[in-house]
Amino acid sequence: MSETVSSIEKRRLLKGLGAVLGTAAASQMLGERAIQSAFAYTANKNSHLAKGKLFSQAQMMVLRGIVKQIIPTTDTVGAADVDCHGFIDHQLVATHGNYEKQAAVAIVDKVEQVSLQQYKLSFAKCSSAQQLQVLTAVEQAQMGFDHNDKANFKVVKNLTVFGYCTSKEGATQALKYSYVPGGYQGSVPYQQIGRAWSSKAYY
Amino acid sequence: MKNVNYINESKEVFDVIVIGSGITGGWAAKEFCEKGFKTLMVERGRVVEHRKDYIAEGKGPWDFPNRTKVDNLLVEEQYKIQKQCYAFHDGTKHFFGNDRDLPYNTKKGTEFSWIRANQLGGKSLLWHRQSYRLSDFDFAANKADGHGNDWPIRYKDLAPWYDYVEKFVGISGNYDNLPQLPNSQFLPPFEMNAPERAFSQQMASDFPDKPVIISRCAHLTEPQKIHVELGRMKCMARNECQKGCSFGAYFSTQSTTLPAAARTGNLHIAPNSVVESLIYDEATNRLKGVRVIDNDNLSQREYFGKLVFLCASTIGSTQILLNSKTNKFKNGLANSSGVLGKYLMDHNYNARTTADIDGFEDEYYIGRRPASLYVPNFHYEPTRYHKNFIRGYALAGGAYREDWQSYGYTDGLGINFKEKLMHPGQWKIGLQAQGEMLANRDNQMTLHATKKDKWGIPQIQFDVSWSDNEKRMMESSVEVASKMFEKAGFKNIQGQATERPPGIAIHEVGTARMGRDAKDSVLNGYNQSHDIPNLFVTDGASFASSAVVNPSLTFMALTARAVDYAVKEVKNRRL
Repeated sequence: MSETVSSIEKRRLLKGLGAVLGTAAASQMLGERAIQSAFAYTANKNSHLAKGKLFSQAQMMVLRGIVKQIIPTTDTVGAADVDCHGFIDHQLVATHGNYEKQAAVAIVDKVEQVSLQQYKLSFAKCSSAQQLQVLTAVEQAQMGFDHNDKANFKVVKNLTVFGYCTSKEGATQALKYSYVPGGYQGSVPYQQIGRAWSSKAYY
Repeated sequence: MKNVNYINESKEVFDVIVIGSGITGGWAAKEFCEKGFKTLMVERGRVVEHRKDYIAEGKGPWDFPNRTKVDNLLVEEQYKIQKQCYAFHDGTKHFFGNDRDLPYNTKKGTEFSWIRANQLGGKSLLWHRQSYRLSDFDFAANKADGHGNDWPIRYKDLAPWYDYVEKFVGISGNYDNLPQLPNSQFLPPFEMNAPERAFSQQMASDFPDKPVIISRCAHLTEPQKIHVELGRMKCMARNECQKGCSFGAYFSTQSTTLPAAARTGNLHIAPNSVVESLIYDEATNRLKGVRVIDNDNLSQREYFGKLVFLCASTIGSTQILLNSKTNKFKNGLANSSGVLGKYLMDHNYNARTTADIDGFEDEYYIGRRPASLYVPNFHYEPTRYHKNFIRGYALAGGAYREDWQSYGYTDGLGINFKEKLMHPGQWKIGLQAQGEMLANRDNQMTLHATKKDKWGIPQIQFDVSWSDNEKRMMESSVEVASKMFEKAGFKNIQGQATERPPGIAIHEVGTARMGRDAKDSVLNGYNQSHDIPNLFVTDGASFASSAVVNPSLTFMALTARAVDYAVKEVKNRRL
């Protein structure tokens, strides 16, 4: 049999835990199932209150503010409501390379730095209007942000959108999800559907 | 599965051994079983049971640990090559081969992307299901322009077999009545969406030699009795086929040929059996069976049969022949011609042209269509060749509304951005070139002199490159697609040729080609070895040219025809 995801996850986890406990002890402590669930991403209401896999707790607070401004809560859930910040922290480690990891950390730090300069406040403590001003400036490469920052921001933004539109709430409430369409209809008045499809063949 | 006899050790002499269980092996097994032959299907990988083993089916993206993306470390260690396939994701990865266990080599300065699917059902679980007949222009092309060895068959030889397999498989499509793309036995076609229909209508008058049609695919749009009997149902337009389809709506070994073979009671399957070589008896000049290494514990065993149908995939089948060296066949079994392993081809998918379509804001669609738009090859005979290259290409693609999948890279924040995310945007269209690759003796696979895999089988060494002919074709396709888009009034037209390596179209064919003369081909016109009468190779290895269209339907027709021939030869005591 080929190696499964869970055994990869096990090695990754053992590498971390083993340093503390010794590999044999760590291995004994953890059943396969425990390891799999330890590494699968599950939405967490409080991921901004703890250190992430990639981001520090302070950075998680900033990231939460960023995703909230990209996709705010309206009559449907927003990105922070579905833990996009926690998802981004997980996904960067699990499925992305160094370029994206570094880009994401760099823009989170830069956003914080500019907020402190501009408003003497941590980004997370800024008002919603101030936060929006800072992020608008990123996209316009102003207020001390340059085109490199703008490119770095797109990494976070794209993960926010992906995380939101593939979350159960985002996919089924803000967008329209159809697991079994029942057949293909090529021409349907848009009003009949009213939302973009979140369901895709390949994500 | 009911009525399947899974075996491990057996001294029995089967009427036929079928090596491989993908599209080709499934067809060979079904045909032999239905003709009363006691059949042993030898599969190198594990058993995958229809429905039960489609472990990712029915899950939303939120149900996957990384929302359908595959873990970095896993990709790095085990799927470096397989990840290049568009269908590789967390819901399908268990149906792809493992690059760590299945190493291969490429000659310095060349690349080849070899996508594997080593389990019961093989690549029939993962294929893209587009299904076209080769035309008489395709079968005659090598002779007409002198590139490649003439096919020993013509369209009329295969046409009744296309009819036969299509009715059983279920091919959706439209009766387009095109000389270069013969009609199949069709189930109703998938619909075009509104801009596609408008584009197709306009092109019919502006470019009458480039009809824009709906693609033809192996999906049940209107199941017939022959399908329902096997437990197959209508296609639900999920287009998540590669996770496995419990509706049995697309053709796979599991959904279609295996249950048909199993219900005869003649089917035996030896899973986890990696064929190391074929057992050849020089005194009678016949194969006696196969030598197998156990996939899991690496022990050896043998199976015996009166006939051998090699259906292990183009590269897999030729690897087995090359590794079956005897006193008489020092360079590989059935290789008196010396062409075994040579003339490896794929299709060239190295150009895509895209554009924006204005209007149609009130139009949307329901479902994820497993079909596309298709512009059949218009350079299909020498008088229609482009001045810069020989042979031709098709274009495939379609129109869709832009959505959240690309919005992450656009500007915008807050409520306005969220509003944009929730609705579909601009209509877009894309057409991808699918070019023929010429048969070139230098494009070849050999066995590596020293490196072996974990089963002790010599690794393959590829030496395959695109020629300038193939590259020029791609550049031309961008010009043509751009002209069509311009004429249609589309905006923001962009296109370029890319440099993806051969192999990644997953249409590898050739290496044990058919031909009239035993001196320059491995197989005769019935896919039978010129050298060894009870050996048949009916998968893509037998192709004398790649043609332009997707090859799988032709694997099926060639296989059904070869079985019919072999059965008659056995009955007439010539085999």
